[in-house]
Formats: sequence, structure tokens, C-alpha cells
Amino acid sequence: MMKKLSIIFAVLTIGFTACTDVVDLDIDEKEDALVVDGRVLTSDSVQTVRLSRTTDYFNPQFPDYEAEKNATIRFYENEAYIGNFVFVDSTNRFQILHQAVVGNSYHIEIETESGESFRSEPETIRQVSEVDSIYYKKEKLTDFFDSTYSVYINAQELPGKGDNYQWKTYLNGNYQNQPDDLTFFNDDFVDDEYIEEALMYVLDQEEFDQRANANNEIEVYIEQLGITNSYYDFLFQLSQQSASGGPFAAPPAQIVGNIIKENSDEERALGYFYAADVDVSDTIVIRR
Amino acid sequence: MQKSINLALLFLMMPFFAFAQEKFTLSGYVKEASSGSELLGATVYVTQLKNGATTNMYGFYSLTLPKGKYNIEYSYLGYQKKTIEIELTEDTKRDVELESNSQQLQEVVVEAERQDQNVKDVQMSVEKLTMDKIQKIPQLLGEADVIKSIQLRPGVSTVGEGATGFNVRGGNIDQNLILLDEAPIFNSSHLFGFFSTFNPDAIKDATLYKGGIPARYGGRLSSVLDVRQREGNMREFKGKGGIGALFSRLTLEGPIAKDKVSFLVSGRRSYADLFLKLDDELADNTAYFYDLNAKVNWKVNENNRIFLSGYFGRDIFSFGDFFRAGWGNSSFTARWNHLFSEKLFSNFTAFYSNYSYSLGADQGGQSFDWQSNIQNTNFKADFTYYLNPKNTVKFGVNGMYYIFEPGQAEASGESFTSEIVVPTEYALEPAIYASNEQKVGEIVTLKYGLRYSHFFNLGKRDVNVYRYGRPTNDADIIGSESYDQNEVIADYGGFEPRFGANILVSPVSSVKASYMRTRQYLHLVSNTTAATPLDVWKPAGEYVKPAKADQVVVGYFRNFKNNTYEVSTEVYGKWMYDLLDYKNGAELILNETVENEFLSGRGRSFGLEFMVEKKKGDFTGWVSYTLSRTQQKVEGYQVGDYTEAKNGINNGEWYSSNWDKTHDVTVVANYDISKKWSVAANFTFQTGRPITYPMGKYYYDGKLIPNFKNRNNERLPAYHRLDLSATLNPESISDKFSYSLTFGVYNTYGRKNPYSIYFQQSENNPLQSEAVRLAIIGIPVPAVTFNFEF
Repeated sequence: MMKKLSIIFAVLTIGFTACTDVVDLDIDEKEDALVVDGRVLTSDSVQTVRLSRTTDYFNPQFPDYEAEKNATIRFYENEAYIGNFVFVDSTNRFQILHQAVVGNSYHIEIETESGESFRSEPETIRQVSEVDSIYYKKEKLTDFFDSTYSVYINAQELPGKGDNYQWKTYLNGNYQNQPDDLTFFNDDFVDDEYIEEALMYVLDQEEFDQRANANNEIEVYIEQLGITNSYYDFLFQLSQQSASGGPFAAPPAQIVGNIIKENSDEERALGYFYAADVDVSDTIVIRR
Repeated sequence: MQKSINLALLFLMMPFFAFAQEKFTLSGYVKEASSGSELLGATVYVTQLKNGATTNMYGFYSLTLPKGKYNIEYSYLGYQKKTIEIELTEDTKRDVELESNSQQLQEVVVEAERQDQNVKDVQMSVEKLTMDKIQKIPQLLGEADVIKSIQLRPGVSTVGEGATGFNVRGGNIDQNLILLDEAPIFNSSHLFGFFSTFNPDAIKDATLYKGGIPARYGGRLSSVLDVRQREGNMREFKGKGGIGALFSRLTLEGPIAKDKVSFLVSGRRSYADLFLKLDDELADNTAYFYDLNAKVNWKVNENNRIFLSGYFGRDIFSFGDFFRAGWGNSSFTARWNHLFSEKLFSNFTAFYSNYSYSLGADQGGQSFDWQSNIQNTNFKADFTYYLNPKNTVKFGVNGMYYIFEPGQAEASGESFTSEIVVPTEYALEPAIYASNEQKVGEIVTLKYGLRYSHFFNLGKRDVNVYRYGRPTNDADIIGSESYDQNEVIADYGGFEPRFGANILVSPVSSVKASYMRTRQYLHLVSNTTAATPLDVWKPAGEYVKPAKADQVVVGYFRNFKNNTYEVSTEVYGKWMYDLLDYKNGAELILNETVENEFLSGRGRSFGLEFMVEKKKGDFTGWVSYTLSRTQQKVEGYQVGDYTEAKNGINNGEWYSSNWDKTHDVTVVANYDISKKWSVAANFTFQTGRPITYPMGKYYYDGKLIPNFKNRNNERLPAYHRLDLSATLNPESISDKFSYSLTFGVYNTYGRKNPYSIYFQQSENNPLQSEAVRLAIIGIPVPAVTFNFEF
């Protein structure tokens, strides 16, 4: 429903967005902070963490993932030390080989080269249900949109409130990670219901043509992640902050994650280290 | 405390102990000659005593004078003065009719002498706009608009074009009590905020109290906008209307029984959607809004009058099965004016109002139907006792019952979503007040009053109990407590002293001061820059305190050239407590435990307002300037293991409110070139409102994230805009029909005034970060409006 509402407000504010243009600004205030982008997934035996630092807002460079390559990252399962993540040059990521298990909790401790210490708040993996089916429809959502290819899934929501979902869409094997692609959900409205026709992704004809492979088709699959309440809140903030600015935008604010600075009540690192159970859907093919 | 109450009561009772001498009361109504409708705020002046009164909001006046012979002058701006001689030997009723200036020959120039209300009256911080004045101001698409006009007065601002509501002296938009024939209107906007819900043809006038609010009003911290509907012509059948770029309007009025019963019906509808029907592909879609106003006015006899009025307005959008939404206000008011004696005027009002919205979708697995409303039933009695020419006492009681249904979303069709209900809340808000306006000698006028209000949040409802005794998060809910129907869940109350003074420095100038405390028991739950129609109101309750505010104002008023020019300047300070604010990342829509998202804060606002207005002649208008600063402070809290809210906002430091605009200059001018042509202009310059710039950026999961830290750390570029219009009043075709054409341009030089600047990654290149300026209306918008009267 929230996805639908956001589409609605986009339509209602089409008149407003007609008057946008890109402007140059001087931004004087700056903050240098550590950024953590890490996860533990049940679907992958390699767990990864990326470290970087904030940069000037208008800096057009790729984030420097090597700046903190000498950091030490310790990995814990149920508070027991497992081993250290190791920086891998080819992926610019820290990695560790470890199979994650539903019901266990995970956290990391980070020490940067400059001597700062951080610790993530533990995340306990909650079981996620299976994606029953994935399918697409060619349809016209409203008269104001062109016809689209809409990808849907069906799945059983598990009994008991507190299940949270993130859905990641892969087109021809590529994870769709733009701000608009962020899809997440909690079971406040749907506890223990059979979820039918949950809208995952919308491709218009132009996007289809751009993305289609040589056979003029797109392979699609969905990863269904069972995430924690706390990570849901983080994603909610992420979606609010990546769509800031219109008349109905929430106030801009720093996104609070789960990376705490040791010996400091006030400071945190940016980003999140999350743990999730994953179910991967079948792969379907969208044809023109 | 008890002692201070006793003193206050003694103070209030003082005028009753004045000594007796043989006196009689002259009373009656002052009316407009052509339609028979009452004139509010008309001056009744006793030449011999150099003293007088003004008519109240029902056009009634009462003067108690020693036995004798008097000349009484009746006057009202835009009407010919009338003087009558009267020998007062007994209580006397005298209704007087005044002729409009415009209906007489050009060469006879009539100057109403006593148009010095702004200097003589103890009331300050008041903006009174008649429809006549409002209709001369150029506006977007040529549509005269009460709220847009109010925003051109000093001390009133808005966060931006198209934003709903208005901000008065640093107050949030939910701190304005907006009344239409005494019934509160909870959302005063159509199309989000581009137009207000008041149909100009149905409105008589609008009065905004920014400070020194009379004791009879309560329930909001910052202002009262009192809008009155017209009564309808008692003598002849009349109609008026207009065709504009967006709306069409039609108003009919006339006598049901001549000089006894009149009616007024007025409707307005936007019609852009009708063009959608012309296109087969778009025929399933609709988007429109409308207003319907109706009023019946019945003079039962000399001592009794009854008014019935109603308003119904709605915005409706739908996109086939995909989505539908509608919202609007409806209100119904019944009033009974009764004269107990020549000295005791009373008004009894009952009203019901309902602001509701619905949203829904009928398509696919996510179809739903969502309803929300706030209902309000009220009874009140207001009395005015004209004790003697030096004292006018007002007192009354008021009881308001609320039902808040913040949200009920039901699955519909083949939907998989289950029902969600945000619990209904019930509340009762009784209040009692008394005030006296007292003339002390020739120079000083005092107004002092006391209001006591109370608020009961009532069952039936279940209240969550939290581990640490205050809301933190859902995980800390350890149980719930059930309350029976009408059982008190929480209650709050307190006194609201009001005080005003006027010292006449000279016959044409005065110094005024006022103090008021106000209390507000409802909060609009909204954390977006502009409020949306979906925002709900939250009553004070077990976990939400009511807000209160103190305001002090001092001002100097002076008129020049026989009251042709009015000059005023006011300085105010305002302190607000227990304002509702929200944690960063708050989820406010359809949240069953929304109390977890709340923070509590304070506000303060200081300002200087200056205004020069030319009220008479071919050239009229005003220049106003406001210098102000408005800030908020929201401290965090920490209980037990719960630390999420510990930093508050900006680490609990004072920061600028969204609507803080340091400088605000407005020039409004109207020039009647000839009987046929008039031109008008409106220029506004404002400091840009505060916004938040990021302190850098980072990437998470491949997404570019602006790293914001301190809220409202920068400002938008300045806002300025010029609107122009020209009105053609051709020779009337006949006595029975006249029309006019207005040509206008809004944002004449097409400035792209930024509503906001937002920060995002470029659509084409995720590495490229952008600052995007959003201008709501970045081009000149021309319009032609055709108005007619018959």
C-alpha cells in the first residue's frame, strides 16, 4: 500500500516537478565520518563489509573503499568470536567465509587505522517465508502512465507480528539498487495473510528496451529478505531521505544506523550491518 | 492561586459596583440600506459626550446614557454618515440604515469622520479584511482568496506557494482557529494549498486576531480567523457569480419574507476535470473540488433572530480503479440572538463540523479503503452586557465534544491486507470566560478578561502501558489499560488571562499593549514541510500534553489626513510550550502507536511589524514590513535502555522554524483610474525560508545518501513576486445586470522562487550528486475572470 501511496503522490505532484532545475551551491559545513555497508545473509557463505568515508557533497569521485583497508573487523556469532574479515582487493570488500543460521545473532567490531573503535548492535536472523510464485503483467496502471511490465510475487506471510521484508529485484542478474527501487514492508497490515499480487518492480517500454538482452528479453528474479525491525526503520529513513525536498517531504535528517562508536555516547558511524534470512524466487523471463 | 483568582474576580466585578444615576439605554441594529444586512463594527458616536460604541458581530449596539438630548452619529467605512437627534427619556430602540457611498453621485464626497477605530479601539494585532478589499487584490488565476489575502498582512506568512494554511507570528499552521460562522474548519485549503475553502461571494468579511485575542475565543495558541458568511438580501432577489480559469461561481440570495426572512445559497466548482471527459482514454479519471454555502436569516421579532448556516466542500481525485481520494469539511451552525433587555445581548450557538478524508484503491491485491475524520459538536452561549458607556462586559460558556477517528483502513476486493484501525478518541472541552472593556477617563481604555478551559480525553479506549511509563517503542509495551465509555483517561486545564490597554496620546494616535495566554488541546500530526490533507489531529491525552503560549505586544497607532492614512507598528514576543514534534524518521501515517514518534518542544518568536495603509480615495493599498525571528527547541529524552530519542533535534539546541522569514515586505496597491477601469498590483519580498544542506555524502547499498546533520542550517534564496491585474467595469446593460472583466498576471516577471532545494543522485549517473531547485510556480500565470451581478 505504501508503494502505491508514493506513486499517487508522485502523480499528484507532477505539476510541481515540472518546475525543477539543477543549481550550483556552496556547501560550507562538512563532516568526516566512517561509513559501514555490511551484511550477513543465509543465502551466501561469504559475508561482506564495505568501509568508506563521507566525502564532499559535490565530489564526483567513486567512494574510496581502500581508505580504510587496513581496518580490523572482528566477526561475532551469538557474541562468540568467529574470526576477522579480510580485505579483498578485487572486490574492494572485506570478506569472511561463514554460513549464517536462522535464530543466531551477529555483530562486528571495527578498529580503524587511526584508532577509532566501533561496534554494531547485534542482529538476530528471523526466518523468512518462501516466494511462492513470481510473474509479470503487461498493464496500464493509470491513464497517466504508459503501459508497463509489472512484476508481482505471491507469498505466505508467517504467523506472528514482527516480520519485516526487503525485496531486491535482479534484472538480467543485476541488482536494482537505485533509490526508487527500494522495496520493503512490515506485516502490520498483513500478519499471517497470503500475500497476493505484491508489486515488486515496474518497467516501462523505454526501460525495457534499454535493459533487454540480445534476445529482446529480461530475466527477473526476486530476493525476499527477512530483516529485523531495526533494519526496517533504517530502510524507512533511507527511503525518506533519498526522496527529500517536495512539499510533502519529511525533514532532512541524518540516518541513524546500528554502528556505535565505543567510548562515545554521542557519535555513531553511518550505515548499517544487517543480518537476514533470504529466499530466492524462480527466475522468469519478460518478453516484449 | 486562590488569592489571585479572587482578585481577578473582584477586578472583573468592579464595573458592576458603579454608582447609580438616572440613565436610559439606546440600542438597536446598524444595517446596510440596500440589502438590510447588518454592519459589523459600525461606529455609534455621541457628539455631546465625545464617546460612543461600535456594533458587535451581529450589528447590534447599546449605549446607556444619562437622561438628555443627544446627537448620535452612525458611520461605517464606505457608507454615508447619518446623524440623528434623540431625546432620551426612556429606554429606546433605534435601528439605523446607512447608504453605500458607491450608490451616490460622484461629486458628493462623503467623509466618515469617525473611521479611527484602529486608534481608538483597545483591540490590537487585528487584521480585518472586507470582501471588497480582498476582491481588489490580484491573485493566482484571478480568484479572490481570503487566506492568500491574509498572508499579505504583517506577521502572517507561509512556508511556500501551494502550502496549506498560514503561520501567524511564528506559530505553526495548526495554531490558528479558523471559524466559518463560528464552526471550526480543520483544513482551509483546496488542491493542497493553492486555494482556500472560502467562496468569496458567500463571505461578508474576515477578521484575523494575531494577538490580544478576546477571551471569548480559545483553543488555539496563535490566532483566530473569524470568517462570517453573508446573510442574504432581505429586500430583493439578487444573484452574482463569475467564470474564471479554474472555478465557476454562482450565488443567489433574497427575501423569503421581505424584511423578515432571507436566504443565501452559494456554490463554486472547479472544472478542469470536465476536459478529461473529452478524452476517451482519460474519461475514468477525475479531479475537482467544490464548495456549497447556504444561510437562512430570520428576524423573528425585535428581540429574537435566528441564523442557520451550512458549509460543505470537498476535493475529489480518482485515477480509474488505481486510486481515489477525497477530503473536505462540512459544518452546520444554528444561532439564536436574543435581547434579554436593551443592555443584555445574547447569542446562543450550536454547531456540528466534520473534517473527513477517504482514500482507496480497487485494483489488485493491494486494494484498500481508508477513512478518517474529526467530528466536533459544540454548544455555546455568549452574553454582552452594556453596563454603561464606560463598561462593556462580555461573558459566556462553551462546551465542545470531539470524536477523532484517525484512521480505519479496510481491505477491499481481493486484497490480502488485513484491517487496521487506529483507535478512536473522544474528548470534551468546556470553557468559561468573562471580560470587561472599561474606559478610564478620556484617555485610557482597558480590556481585561479571564478564560478557563479544561480538556477531558474520554473512553472508550484501550491505552498502551509502557515499560518506562512513557512511550518509547512497540517492544516496550507491557500491557494495556481499558477505559469505559466516557471514563476520563486524562485531563488538563488552566486559566487564560487576557489583557489589553489603549492610551490615547492625541486625538489621532495611541499606544496599545496586550498580553494573552492561550491553551491548545489538539495537535496536527505532521512533520512534512507543507501539511497534507491526510494529516490527523491528535488530542491531548495520556501521553500528549496540551500546548500553551504567552504573548506580549506593544504598539503605536497613528492616523493622518482625516484617517486617510493609518500607520501602525507593533512589537511582539511570544513563548510557546509543549509543542508536538517528531523523532527523525517518524512514521506518522496509519500508525497505531504513533505516540512512539513524538517529542515535545518549545518555541519562541519575536517580531516587529510596521504598516502604512491608505484607506480612502481612488488610490488605496498598503505597505507592510515584518522583521521577525522564530525558533524551536526540541530536547531529547532517555529512559532505561531506550536511547533512540536522546539527542532530540539538533542536539536540543534552538534552531530556526521552517516558516522563519527574517524580512517580509508587502506592497498592495489599487488605483481606480476611472469609473470604468481600475488597476491593482501586489508585490512581495521575503527572506528565503530555512532549509537543510547536507554536510557531505556517502554510499550505502549502491545508493547515494546526502549526509544531513543540523536541521535548517541554511536558507533558500529570497522570494519575491509581482502580481498585476486590471478590471474593466463596462457601462451597465441595465439596472438589473452588471458585469466586470478582470485580467491578471500572477508572478509577472516569472521568477522561479524556490519552494525548496533537495539533494539527490543524478538519474543518469549515480556518482553525480545534484542540488535540485523546486519552484512551484516558476512562470507568469495569466488569467481572465468574468464576474457578474444581477
